[in-house]
Amino acid sequence: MSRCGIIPFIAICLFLSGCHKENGKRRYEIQLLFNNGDVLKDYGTVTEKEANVKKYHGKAVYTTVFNDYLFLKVNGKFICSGDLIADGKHGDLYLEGAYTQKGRAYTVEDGYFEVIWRDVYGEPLTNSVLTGKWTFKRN
Amino acid sequence: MKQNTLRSLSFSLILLFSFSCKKEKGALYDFPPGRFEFVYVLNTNTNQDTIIGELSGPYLYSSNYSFMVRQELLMDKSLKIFKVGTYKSINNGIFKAQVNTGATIDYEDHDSDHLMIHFASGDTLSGSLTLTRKE
Repeated sequence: MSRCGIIPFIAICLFLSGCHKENGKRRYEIQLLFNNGDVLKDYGTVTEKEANVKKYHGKAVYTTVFNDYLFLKVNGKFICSGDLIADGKHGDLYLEGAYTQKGRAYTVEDGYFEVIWRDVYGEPLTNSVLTGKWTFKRN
Repeated sequence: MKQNTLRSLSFSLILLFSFSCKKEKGALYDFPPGRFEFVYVLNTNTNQDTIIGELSGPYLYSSNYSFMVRQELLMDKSLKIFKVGTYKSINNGIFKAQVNTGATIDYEDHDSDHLMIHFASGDTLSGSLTLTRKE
């Protein structure tokens, strides 16, 4: 009798823990609206299910837009630095912006970013840092 | 009666087992991510370089802690990332900065807003990285 009850229970436990479905990944759009009028847009995914990201990256959000970034969560803001390869150009990107979260979906309406485009030797291509506004939303 | 005891015993064993799977805390678990001012001092042979700037972190990639430098036009263009120890330990971990700058961390101290490490490699290279929270 007892065996009849325990075996299905263990089987269900094993079945549940073996579910490695990649749920919680959603498509997002990021837009970099440069103050000089240029616009860069890209699509990628965000792993919205926090437990998965927390396990490997701590307090951050992992996204595959542009070059794959980790957005650190700092006082209601995303903060991120990284390489930017887009439109055949290479540069450095710095992002910060307040995010809102509805359910699991993140939205950044009015973020601030900086870009320095560089040549193959790493020298800056402009004599000032390019800045602008960025948006990030579930697509 | 015996069956019931057996059943509840195995059930509580499974529960205990699943609750005991707790993840080990990282070396910087009490150092929340943010923006920091950094002072990077590098001594090589007779030269001493000091670079001041801003960075964000800690980012956790493959169990390694790193800090990403917010780029400025006049900043040393190869200084982009500091790799500072691992999830398990900062002390005795690897410190990496610019190209060819790799050393072992021989001192680390932090509270929630400050982090200081000293690193050295043989007799020729040593230095420190000090972070102070901005946000």
